[in-house]
Amino acid sequence: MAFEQLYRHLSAPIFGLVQRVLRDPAQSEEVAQEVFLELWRSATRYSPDRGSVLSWAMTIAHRKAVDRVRSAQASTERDTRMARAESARPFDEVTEVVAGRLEREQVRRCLGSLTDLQRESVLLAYYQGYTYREVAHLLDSPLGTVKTRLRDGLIRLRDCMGVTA
Amino acid sequence: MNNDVHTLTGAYVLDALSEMERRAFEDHMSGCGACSQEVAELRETTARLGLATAMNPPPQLWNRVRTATTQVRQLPPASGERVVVQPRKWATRVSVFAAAASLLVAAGIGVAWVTTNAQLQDKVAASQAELDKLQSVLSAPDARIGTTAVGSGGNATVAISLDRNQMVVLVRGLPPLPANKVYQAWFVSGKNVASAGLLGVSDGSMTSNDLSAAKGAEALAFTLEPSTGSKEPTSPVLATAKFSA
Repeated sequence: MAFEQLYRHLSAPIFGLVQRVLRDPAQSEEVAQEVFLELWRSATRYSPDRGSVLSWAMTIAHRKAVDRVRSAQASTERDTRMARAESARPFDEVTEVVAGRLEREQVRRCLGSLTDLQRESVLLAYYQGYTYREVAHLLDSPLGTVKTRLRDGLIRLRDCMGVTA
Repeated sequence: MNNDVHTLTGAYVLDALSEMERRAFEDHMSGCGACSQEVAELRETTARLGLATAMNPPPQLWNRVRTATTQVRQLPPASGERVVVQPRKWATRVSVFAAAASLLVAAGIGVAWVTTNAQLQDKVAASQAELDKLQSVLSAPDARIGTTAVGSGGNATVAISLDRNQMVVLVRGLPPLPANKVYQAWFVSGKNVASAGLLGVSDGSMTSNDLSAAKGAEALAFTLEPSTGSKEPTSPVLATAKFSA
């Protein structure tokens, strides 16, 4: 059955990303399950001319993980997390996990081709689920600058990875 | 193109906009081809960042997902295509999805991410190229799909578009080839067969840009042939993949 195959081959990328954003394993499992149900529900609407299966699945996974983080934002937990992140230099940690655990040379090399500020902005937004306003606050930079950095950083990554759509 | 709005593609792809900004950007994007294209490319890019964090979930997750899918109904195809009821179209769409999923499997994407080896990048590049080719065929309005089991546990998937003169054949887990033999694919049209190409591997893909012999074909059949190929099949048909209507 196609869906079981899809699960088998996407469960590690999806679960890994969700857990990266959420940290908590129990919550991550819950959200990963929601992601797969959404993939199941909307499989009939997947259209290859809008992107690869992988990008479709990872887009849904990231959105769901971020939604979960934000719904917890109302509680003070998020504020504490933000305060802690500020002092803990989260970017270095993220870069290390990405590069070290999987030895993904390409990802590491391409992240290395970004300016420090582009890389920090992209990593905070993608792996920690911060909005660009929060990123601006964390990095003490103007909103417009962060918006531009996020886009320029991703464009540079795209070109470095040779991604097409 | 409104430059100020356009700079939001990055933040949008990273889910870094507020709900209101997100909706405003989606409104804008629906009328901005350049934005949609950029968003699609940047999404393929962030997907790679996501892959870098791959981690196996606890084994019970599959059981929970499987149980839950029995209680959730799949959506009908996008409303724009529902003006006329077209069961055939839906069937095609589902098989397109299945074919894309099986390609993902064939390409080894997923399993590969939790392993670390020197060939990984090559493998990724090769599967991406296969995926690109398949997507080019699948996005053709006249695209047709066929799949079939081959031997025990093997399968073959075919995507073909006569309009674009392109075909992608993907095989996985076929029985190992004896020395000096290849798999040969044949277009089947009624009682006529015509060679569609040779496949020298049990796992891999074959693409063809010359479909002059494919006109009127309703299926692709596979036989075992000498390594130089044959003019017509010289051994029994191993499997036949019928094209979707």
